[in-house]
Amino acid sequence: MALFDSHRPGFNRLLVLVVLSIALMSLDRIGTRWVDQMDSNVGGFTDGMAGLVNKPVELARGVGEWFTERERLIEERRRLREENLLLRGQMQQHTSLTRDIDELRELLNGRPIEVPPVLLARRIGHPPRSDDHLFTINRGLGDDVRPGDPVIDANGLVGQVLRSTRLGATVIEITSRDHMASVLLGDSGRSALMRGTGTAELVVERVPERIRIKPGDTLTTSGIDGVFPRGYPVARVTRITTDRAQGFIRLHAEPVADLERLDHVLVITEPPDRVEAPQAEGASESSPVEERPDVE
Amino acid sequence: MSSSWIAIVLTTLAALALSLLPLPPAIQAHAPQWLLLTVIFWALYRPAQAGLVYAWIAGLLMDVATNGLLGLHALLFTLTVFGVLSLRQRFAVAALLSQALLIAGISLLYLLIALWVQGMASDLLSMASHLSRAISNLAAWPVLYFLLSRLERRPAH
Repeated sequence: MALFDSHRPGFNRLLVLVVLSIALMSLDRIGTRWVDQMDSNVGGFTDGMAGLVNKPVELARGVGEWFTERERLIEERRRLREENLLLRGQMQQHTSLTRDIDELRELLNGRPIEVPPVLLARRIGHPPRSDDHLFTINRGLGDDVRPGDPVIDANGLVGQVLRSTRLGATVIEITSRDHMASVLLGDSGRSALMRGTGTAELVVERVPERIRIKPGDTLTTSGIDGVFPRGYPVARVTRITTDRAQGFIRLHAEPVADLERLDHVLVITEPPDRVEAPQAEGASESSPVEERPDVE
Repeated sequence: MSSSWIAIVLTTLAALALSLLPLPPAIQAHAPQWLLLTVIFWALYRPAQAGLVYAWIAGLLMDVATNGLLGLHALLFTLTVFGVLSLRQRFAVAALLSQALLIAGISLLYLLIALWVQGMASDLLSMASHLSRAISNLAAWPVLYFLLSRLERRPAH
C-alpha cells in the first residue's frame, strides 16, 4: 500500500465535478427531460435494490401469517365474504345509477361519467430520508404507472406518483410539505388549494368567511388541477380557525385515507380528466393549478 | 488490480443497500451514512482507485435512491473526499479514535453545506442562467488574456 504517496487530488478534476453537480442540480430543478430520464433509469436500479432489501421483512411477515390462528382466519374470511356481498349489492345499484346519470347528462349534452381503471400495487419500502411522506410501490413503467398518476386506497386519496422506474415507483403523500391539491369544500361548490404540512394535518387557507362549512365535512378532489380526477374523498375537516381581520377562515383537516398503515394502494393509471387538462390551464391563468411537487 | 476493484464495488453496493434498509423514521434520522463512510474509507486506503470520480458516482447513486435533488449528494461526496484526500497523510496514520473524531468533524461540515444548498435550492433556477455566464467567461478568458497581456508587456520596454 502506497501510504506515503501524496495522491493529492487535482483541482481541475474537483472543479469539473463541482460544476457538473451544480449543473445537474439546476437542470433537475428546471425539470429537463433527459435528467428525468437518467433519474428514472438509475432509479430502476436503486428501486430494485430497495425491493431486494425489503424481501427479508416480507418474508418475516409471511412467516408470521403462517402462524396466525385458524379460527381467526376463518373469522376474517367470513367477514370479507360478507363485505364483498354487501359491496356487490351496492354496486348493482351504483351501475343503474350511473346509467341514469349518463342518460340525463346526454340529454344535457354532457360527457358520460368514466370510472377510471385502477391498478393494485403493494408498498415495498420508503426512501432513506428523515421525512416519511414518500414511499415506494412495486409497480412501475412496465405497468404504465407514470409520474403524476393519482394514488388512492380503500377510503380516499393517498397521493401521486413522483417518479416511475422500470421496477417500481415513488409516491408522494398528500400530507407532505411539498404537495398541494385542489379540493372542493364540502357541499359549497367552492374549490380551494389544500396543502400538506409535513404532519398528519392538512391545511386549506384563505377560504372566504361566508362559505358554509363545519367540522366533519368532507373535502373531495375538484379535478381543476388536471392531476386528480373529480370526486375522490380527500380529507375530513377537524377544526376551523378564523382570521377576523382578514375575513378569511382556515380549515384544518385530516386525511380520510389510512396513511399510517398503508399496505396496498390503487394507482389510477388513466385519469379521465387529463385529456382536457391543458385546455383548462390555457383558458384561465388564475385557476389554481397543481403545483409540481418537488422534493428538496 | 481487478480484484481490488471488485472489493470496492461490492462494498459500495452493500453500503447503499444498508442505507436503503427500511427503518422506522425515528431511527432513520440518526442512522450512520454508511455509503459516505465507505467512500471515505476507500479514499483513505485505496486513493489510486477510489478518487473524486468514484465519490461523485456514489453520491449520484445516493441522490437517486433518496429521490432528492439530483447532484446534491454527488457534490457533497466529492467535496468530502477532496478534503479527506488533502488531509490523507495525517488522516491515514492517525489512531482509530482520532480518525473517528475527524470524521465527525467532517460530517458536521457536510451537514452545514447540505443545509445551505437546500436553502438555496429555490434559487437554482436562476443558477442555470449563471451557468451559461460561467461558460462564456471560460471562452472569453483567452481572448482577454491575449489582449491585456500585450498591454501589460508594453510599459516594460
